[in-house]
Amino acid sequence: MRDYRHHARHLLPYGLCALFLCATGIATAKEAPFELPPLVEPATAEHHVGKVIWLDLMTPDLAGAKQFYSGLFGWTFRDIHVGKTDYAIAYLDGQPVGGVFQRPEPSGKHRQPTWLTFFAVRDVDAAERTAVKHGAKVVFGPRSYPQRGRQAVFADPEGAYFAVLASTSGDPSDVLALPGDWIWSALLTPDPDKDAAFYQALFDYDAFGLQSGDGLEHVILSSDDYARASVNALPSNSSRPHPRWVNFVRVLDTDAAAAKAAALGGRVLVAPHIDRHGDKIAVVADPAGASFGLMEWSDTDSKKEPE
Amino acid sequence: MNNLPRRWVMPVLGLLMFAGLCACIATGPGYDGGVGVGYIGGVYEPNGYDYGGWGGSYQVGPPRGHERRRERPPAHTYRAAPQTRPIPSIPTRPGRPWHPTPPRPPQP
Repeated sequence: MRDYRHHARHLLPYGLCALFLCATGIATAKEAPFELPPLVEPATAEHHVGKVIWLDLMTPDLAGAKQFYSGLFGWTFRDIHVGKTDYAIAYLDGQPVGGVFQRPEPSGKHRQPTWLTFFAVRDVDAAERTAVKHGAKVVFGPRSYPQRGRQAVFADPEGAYFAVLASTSGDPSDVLALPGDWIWSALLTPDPDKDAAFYQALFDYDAFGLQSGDGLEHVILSSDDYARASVNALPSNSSRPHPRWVNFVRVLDTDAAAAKAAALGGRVLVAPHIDRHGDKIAVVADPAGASFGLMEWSDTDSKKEPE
Repeated sequence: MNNLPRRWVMPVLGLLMFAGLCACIATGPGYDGGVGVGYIGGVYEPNGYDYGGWGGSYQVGPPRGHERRRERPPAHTYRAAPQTRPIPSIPTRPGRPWHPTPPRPPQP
C-alpha cells in the first residue's frame, strides 16, 4: 500500500501535465488560425497585374452591412468568427465578391467606414519596395494567409489607401462583371498626373489622358489591353478634398438601385447621371457611411451623350 | 516530502514552454493576432469629406473604346501611351451564367 502511494505521488505531476497538454491541444485546435478562403475556386494560373480583384469593407456595424448589401445586391454571407474578429465573406451567386469586417470606431474619434481596394500583383514584397520608392507609405506590411495569398496595405503619395494581393489561387478572369459584382474603380485625387505615374510605376499600366468637358484631368489606366481604373482630379468645388478610391458595382438600373439604397438606410452622395460610357452612374453610402458607386453597363454599345 | 518541489520543476517548465508555443500558434497568422488587426483601424478614412461637384461633365467611368485622346498631350509625370493607340475598354466577354439571389425586402 505504501509503495502504491509512493508511486502515485511520484506520477501525479506527470499525469497533471498530460491532462494539461490534452486540454491545451484541444483549445488550440478550436482556436484555429484565421483563414481567408481562396480568391478563385477552382484555382487558375491566370494573373492580371493591376486588376482590382478584391474589396474589404471595414464597418462598425457588420449586421447592418449584411442586411443592406443583401437587400441591395442579393449578396449572401458566410460568417467567420475567430477570437475577437468578426468577419463575413460576401457572395454573389456562389462566388466571393468581398469581405466585411466588424470593427468598432476608435474611442473618441469619428472615422468613416470604407471599402479597401485590392489590386493584383505577382510579388507583394517587390510591390512594397516599388511603392515606397515612389512615395507611398506602408500602412500594413506584407502578410501571408495560406489559402488567400500575400497582401499589404499602402497609402499612395496623395494619401489614398489601397492594398495589393498576390493570390495563390490565381486572379479572376477578365469577363464582364455580373450585376451585383464590382465593375470599375475610380481614384479621386488632388494630383492625377502624379498619382497616375505612381500607379503606373507600381502596376506597369498603360496610361491614357482623356478629353473631358469639365476641364479637369482624367487618366485611364489599363493592363492586358483592358481599362482597369480611372484617375481623376477632385471636383474643383469639393470643400474637403480627400483622395480616395471609389469602387462601382454593376447594376441594371442606377436610378432604381440608388432609390433602393436610400430605402435601405443609405444615402445618395452623387445623383444618377450619364457618364462617359453612355450609361448612368451614381455614388451612394451604406447606413454606416461607407461609400461606393453604382454603374450601369449595357451590353449594347449605344453611347448616349452626357447631359 | 522535501523533494516534491524538485519533481515539479521540469513538468512546470515544460508546461510553460508549451503554453507559450500554443499562444504563438493561436494568435500568429490571423487577422485577430498582434499586428493582424492593425490595418483595419488604419484604413478608416477621416470623416466628413464630401462628394460634391459631380456635374454632368464630371466623368470617372470606363470608356467604351472610342473616346478621343488629347490632341496635343502636355508633358506628364506618367508615361502616356502612344497617341495612335485607342483607349481600351473594360472586359466585356460574358462570364458564367447569372443566377441572381432574390434580394431581401427592406426591414422595417
